Amino acid sequence: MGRIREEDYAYATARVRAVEVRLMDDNKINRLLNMTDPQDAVKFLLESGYGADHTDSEKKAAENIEVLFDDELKNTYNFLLEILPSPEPVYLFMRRYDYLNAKLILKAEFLGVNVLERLSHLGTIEPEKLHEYITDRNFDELPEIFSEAIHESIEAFNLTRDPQVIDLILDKASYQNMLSDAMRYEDPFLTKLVKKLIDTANIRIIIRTELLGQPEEFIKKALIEGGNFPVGGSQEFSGQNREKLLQILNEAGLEKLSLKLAKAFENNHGISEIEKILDDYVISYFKPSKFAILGLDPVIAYLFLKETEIKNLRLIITGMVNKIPAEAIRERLRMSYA
Amino acid sequence: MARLNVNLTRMVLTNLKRRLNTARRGHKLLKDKRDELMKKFLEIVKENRKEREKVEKMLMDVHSRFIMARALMSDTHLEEALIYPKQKVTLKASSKNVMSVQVPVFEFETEGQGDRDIFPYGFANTSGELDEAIIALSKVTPHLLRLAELEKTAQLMADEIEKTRRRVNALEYVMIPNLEETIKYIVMKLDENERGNLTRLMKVKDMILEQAHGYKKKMTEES
Repeated sequence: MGRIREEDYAYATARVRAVEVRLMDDNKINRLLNMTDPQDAVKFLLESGYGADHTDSEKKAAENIEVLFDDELKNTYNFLLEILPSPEPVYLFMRRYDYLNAKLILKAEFLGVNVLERLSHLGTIEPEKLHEYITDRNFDELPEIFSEAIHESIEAFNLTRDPQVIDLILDKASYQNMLSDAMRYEDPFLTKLVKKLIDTANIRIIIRTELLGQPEEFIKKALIEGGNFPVGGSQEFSGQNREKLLQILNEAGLEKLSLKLAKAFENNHGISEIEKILDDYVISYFKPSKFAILGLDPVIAYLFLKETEIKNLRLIITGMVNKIPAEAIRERLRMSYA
Repeated sequence: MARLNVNLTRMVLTNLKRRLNTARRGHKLLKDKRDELMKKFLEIVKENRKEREKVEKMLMDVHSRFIMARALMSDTHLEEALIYPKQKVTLKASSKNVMSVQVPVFEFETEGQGDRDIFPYGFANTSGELDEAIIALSKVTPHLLRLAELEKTAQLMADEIEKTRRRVNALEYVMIPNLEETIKYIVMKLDENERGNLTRLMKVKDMILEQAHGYKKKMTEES
């Protein structure tokens, strides 16, 4: 696939610049945080443009906020597909939902339950079709990495009867697929972004496996190759991984992230603080995109900022419904706009 | 008190006395059983309350952790992560005898590599808060089963106490007084019969003597 010139993104950049002002800023987030009634929050979201395509959106939203978020994300993807000269950069991120659906379909099949209605509609393949492909074991229509991963996870599950192996294989394949797509697209911004996503996934895996005392073999199986710091070969993680992780991050030129993580380890506030640092680290990558005049950067930045916004809104509204103290919510809120 | 409808004979009296004795012995035994059941019941209720408070606290903790995980993950992600449980639990339900009450005993065994092997999802796309919720939930399971065991035991013992209490009351306020009254009545009747017989005999004796010796006639002649 030939690289698309920056000028070809002029229309997409202009359209994104027009809509990104509608993203929730700190003021709006604070207003939401100060609300106590979830119905008020839903109304506020509807006024802010959520659920605009639905005539009965208010009713729908009040019943299930998750539908509103899914629709918003779907609209965002459709919007980006509409404005971009090539759908590939958006498909790259939409494929995450194909993998999510595949995991759900496989687990449901092994469990003997029907999950067709619960599948995500945000992927590149229609959930019904994907369900059919997997059930019929007909992987011809699927990308190679994807079909191989599904095949491998079926074999691994039949051998171990362990549902976790399905996630491990398909998660790894999902990132590998993103990386190979990004490299094929020959856009350094996209490749760097995917590498950052792999890094954050690996850091999350290393810290969580250490916290949970998972064995060395598990870490080896779970880590994803292709990021900015090496995870295979001599870099074997086992036991006390934190010091080693910080050292490797420093060596890979990720000193800022290493410093923040070191501070979080000292604070010992648990995994939530670390996850926030990792999510913010990805969002901070989009800071320069704010000033980019042309290119793919502002478009992808918009997608990620929208995803983060939805993550924050879900956090606030779930917290509001379940009467979680605002402070506990506030400390988990992700960086909303770079 | 109602008197029993029985024949007023010595045989019946003996039978009734035997029944009264048995009833008194049974009453004492049942009263002891009731007291012991009450003692055990109170112990179980006390333990049950402690366990319930503990379980409720743990469940609240699990709930708040799940809420946090739920707040950070979409429905589909959460569904995918938790749809297929990794650890299998085998529950063995048997029973044991406590004061002639068959109370349940639950034993559970988990298949897998222990506490570390309970996560059915990968760590790349899930929230760490979910791990904490799963760990908290796995810790609460044995306590939940113990609580179920205690609550069922308390319920069965309460039923048995109620039954025993009714039996004790029936013996104390109905059966024993009825038997006592019937025995008293039979004794009274038999005594009365006895006295009637005695009088009759004395009368007969007088008549025989009169016939043999003619005392009355002699007395009349003398006078």
